[in-house]
Amino acid sequence: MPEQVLAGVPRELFTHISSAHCENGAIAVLLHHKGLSLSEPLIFGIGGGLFFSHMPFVRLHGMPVTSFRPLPGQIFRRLSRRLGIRVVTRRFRNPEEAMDALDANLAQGIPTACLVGVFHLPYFPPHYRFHFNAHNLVVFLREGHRYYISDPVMPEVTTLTRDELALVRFAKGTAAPRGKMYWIEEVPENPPLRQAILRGIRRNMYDMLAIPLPFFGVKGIRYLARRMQQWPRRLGSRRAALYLGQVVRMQEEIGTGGAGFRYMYAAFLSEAGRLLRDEDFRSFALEMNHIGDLWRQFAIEAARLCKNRHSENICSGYISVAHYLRLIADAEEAFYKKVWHKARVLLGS
Amino acid sequence: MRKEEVPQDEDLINAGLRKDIYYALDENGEFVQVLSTGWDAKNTVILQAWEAVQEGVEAARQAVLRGEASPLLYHIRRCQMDVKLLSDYTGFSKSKIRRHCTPRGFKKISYEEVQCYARALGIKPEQLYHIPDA
Repeated sequence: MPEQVLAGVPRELFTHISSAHCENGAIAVLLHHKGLSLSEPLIFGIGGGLFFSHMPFVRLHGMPVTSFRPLPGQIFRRLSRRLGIRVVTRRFRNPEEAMDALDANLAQGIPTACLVGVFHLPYFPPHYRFHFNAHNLVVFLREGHRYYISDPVMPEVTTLTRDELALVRFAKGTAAPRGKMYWIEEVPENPPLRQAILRGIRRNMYDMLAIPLPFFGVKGIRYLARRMQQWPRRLGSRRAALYLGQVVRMQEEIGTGGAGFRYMYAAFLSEAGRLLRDEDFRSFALEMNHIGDLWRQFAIEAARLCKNRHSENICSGYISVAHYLRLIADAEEAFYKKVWHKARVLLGS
Repeated sequence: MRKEEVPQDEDLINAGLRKDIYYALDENGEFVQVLSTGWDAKNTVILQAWEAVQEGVEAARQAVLRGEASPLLYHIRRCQMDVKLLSDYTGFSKSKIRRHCTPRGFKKISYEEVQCYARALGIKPEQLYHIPDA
């Protein structure tokens, strides 16, 4: 019998951190291991994770995609650029190559994050298993064919077999991960936190207010509202309810921290205020929190509409939830303008 | 949202398996992580999506029983896949998979193809030939 391979970071030296969102969580775990402890909201804010997009031409399960997060990997890319963290990212052609590279990393004691599809993850409850390919987890230890996984959305460390891990890393479908893995090479000693926070905010406010296409940010919310009104007429009540349900699911889906990341951003603004010693951010945080409450209210109305999809005047129901979205868009626009201005003033640009 | 407003609406679909993390205001006005066992609005839409999938699965099962489709179609639906996705997983062409979804085409599946399907669908090879009774 061949000797059991044991490679990676010993269980007792590794800290598992539970997070709301998987990407922030994986980053938090990797950074913590390198001696830089940042909270999830701080990572999220510096990485500019707040977003909205509605792109009817991109489809998931045959439905248009509404998303409350930027493209996978973006948060980490921006965060590492702003803090001067050196990151290595690799993709692979085939599973063997990908698993060998992971093994090589573990042999050197490097915890490595992998992008995976959730559908084949055995520890996920069945109702949450969709063909969704942008989940992040950290592999830190290998014991023969068993891999120890720190999945940020799980309360504890879990394990996967080699075959299971290879399968989820090579999940297929929309945005296939193609075995993508990444790890941190170097963390600077004194990262420029203040600058990074302000730049993160400035960029994020640009994304929410000024991308010159109708699908993104505040404009995207209004665009969705416009299309939503037509759903019952165009699709019939059954499909319309599925579309609407999907919007709510994306908003409250695993790891948003509630209200499509709005609460998490509120927590970030509050922490930013503490770090920058600026009182204005305190009220920003409360205002953002309130915007989160608006989104929650929208979700309640929308869920009610999904439930009563057989009732009479379904069209007026959609018009009223769409109207709710417009109110949210107005509130967000006014708020983001204020925050953008503040960040620009503090950055002196 | 304040800490005490974080919903704790447990449902069968969550059943204590996983908890959501919320960021909410505590009594000192600081944001803290709060665990939630579920939320009615969210449970409703997750259940709705789940039922939509199950309807499709049941329709496929009936079609197999009527002799209009092969068990492969049932398994594709059960895994929330479509022909395109299964084609990506197996490397078989879409037209080939469509052929295998008919009772006639299903009879011609080779041993290797069965293995390949079983792996992609997460079942044992012999299960590919069966559909559940109810």
